[in-house]
Amino acid sequence: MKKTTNYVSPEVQLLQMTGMGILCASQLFDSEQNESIIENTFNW
Amino acid sequence: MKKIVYILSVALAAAACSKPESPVTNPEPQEPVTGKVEFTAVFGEAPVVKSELSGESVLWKAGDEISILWDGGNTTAQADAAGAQANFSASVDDASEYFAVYPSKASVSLSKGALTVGIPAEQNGAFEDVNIAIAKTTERSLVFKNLCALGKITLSRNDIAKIEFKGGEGQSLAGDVTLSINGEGVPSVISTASAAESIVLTPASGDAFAAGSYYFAAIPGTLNKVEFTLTTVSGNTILGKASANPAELLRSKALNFGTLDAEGAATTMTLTFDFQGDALEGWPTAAQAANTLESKTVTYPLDGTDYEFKLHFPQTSDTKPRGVYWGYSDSYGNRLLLNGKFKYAGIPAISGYKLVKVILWQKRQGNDDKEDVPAVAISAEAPATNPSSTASMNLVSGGDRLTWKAGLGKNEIGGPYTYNLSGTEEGTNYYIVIYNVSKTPSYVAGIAKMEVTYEKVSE
Repeated sequence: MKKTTNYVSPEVQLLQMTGMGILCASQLFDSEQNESIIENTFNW
Repeated sequence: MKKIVYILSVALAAAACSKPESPVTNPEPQEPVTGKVEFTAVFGEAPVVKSELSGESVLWKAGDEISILWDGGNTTAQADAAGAQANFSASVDDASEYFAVYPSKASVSLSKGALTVGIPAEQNGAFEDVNIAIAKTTERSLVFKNLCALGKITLSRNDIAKIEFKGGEGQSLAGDVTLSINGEGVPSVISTASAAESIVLTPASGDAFAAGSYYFAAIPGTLNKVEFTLTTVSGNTILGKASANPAELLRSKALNFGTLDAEGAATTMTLTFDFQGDALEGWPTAAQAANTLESKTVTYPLDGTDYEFKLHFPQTSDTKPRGVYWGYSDSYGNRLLLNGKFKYAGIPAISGYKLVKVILWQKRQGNDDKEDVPAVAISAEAPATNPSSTASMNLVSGGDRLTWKAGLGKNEIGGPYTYNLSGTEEGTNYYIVIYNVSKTPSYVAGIAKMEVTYEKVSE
C-alpha cells in the first residue's frame, strides 16, 4: 500500500512570501506501512 | 552555516521552476531538491499481529525522532503528530538516495552507500527504543523495515534491576552492524564491529523494572543456546534461566521467552547472605553456656523470601560457652560465628533445587585466631552428638575442609573460600561445619557473608 501526502512547510511558505524563491512543488515523501511484528514462543 | 546553505539552495532550486505552486494534489514525482523537505512516514498501519503486542504499537508518537542520512550529510527530524502517519521536516542536501533510521538515538553512519547502525549492548527494555527500523529511498518514499530480532520477556517481580541475555560462545548479539539492503528495502547484516556477546537491560528510570513485559533487540541469527541472568536491586538474589535449545532470532519477529522470574522458573539461584550488619530478629547473638546449648531454626528474609537457617550445635566436651550466633564486637563488628568444634550452620534448603556451590568470606572472630587456623567444611548432616573423629564426618563431595587464614586484620575480609559441591539433593539442608586438625585449634570461625548457588532439579 502506497500513500502520498502533500505539504508545504511554514519555512517554504515564508520563502514564497518573501520572494526569495519558489519551490517547484512541496517536497513529498510518501511511505508504505512498516512490517508487522509476529511473535513466536521460545521452547524452553 | 547550515541555514545559509539551505537558503541558497532553495533559491537555486527555485530558478529551475516554471511556476509557483502551492500545496498540490496528486503531484508528479519530483527530483530531490535541496532545502527544507517533508518526510511523511508510516510506521505500522496494522501494528501487530498478536494481541500481546497490541499495547506496544509501532505507531508514531509526536516527537519521535528519526535520523536522515545522505552522502555527505545527516540530520534528525521529529514526528509532528501521533498516529500511523506522521510528518518529519528536515533540511537535507540534494542526494541520489536517503536513508532514515528510527530511533535517532541509534548510532548511525553512512560510508560509500553502506549504512552502519549501532545495536546497543545496553538497553532499557522499552519497545519504542529497541525497535530499530530503517528506510532507504532513491526517490521520496520512506519504507521502514525492522532491522533487529526482538526478544520479549516478562517479569512478575518488582525488584529486578538488571537482566543479562547471552547466547552461545562467540555469538554476537549487538554491535555496529553494516547493512546490505535489498530491492525491497529489507536489511541484512553483512558485518559487525565492536561485537558484544551479551545484552544488558537496566530500567530507563528508577532502580528496578516494574512487573510487566519488556523487549530487547538483537542481531538476527540462530543462537546455540540462551541464558538469562536476573539481578535484584539488592544484588543479593541472582536468578538464572538457561536452555540448551537453539533460539531463532529472526528479523522483525519477537521471540517470547515468557515469565523469567516466576516461582520455580529459574534454573539457577544465587543468594548472598551478609552477616556484617546488625543481627536479624530471632538470631542468637552470643554464645550459650555449655550445658544449655540448644539448636535453633532462624529466618533470613532476602528480597521478599524468608530463608531458614538451621543452627545446630551438639554438646561439646570442653564446658565452654559455644554455639552458632550472629555476634558483634567493637573490634571486629558483626559476623556469623561458629564457635566450637563440630558446630553447624545449616544452609537453607529450597524445594526443587539442590545446593551446588558455597562461597564463604571470613571475618576475624577475635584474638584467638591470631595463631590458630580455623578449618571449615560442608557437611551433609548435623549429627546429634559430636562425631568421634573428623574422619567419621559425612562431608559433601567438594565440601572438603579448607584451611582459613589466621590473624586477619580488624577490617580485613578473608577468602573467598569456594566449595563446588556435587551429589547433593533437592530440598535438603547442608551444613557449614568447623573443625580443626592443627595442634592448637581455635574452634571458632567468623563468616562475613556467604554466597550459595542452587540448581533446579529436573522434574
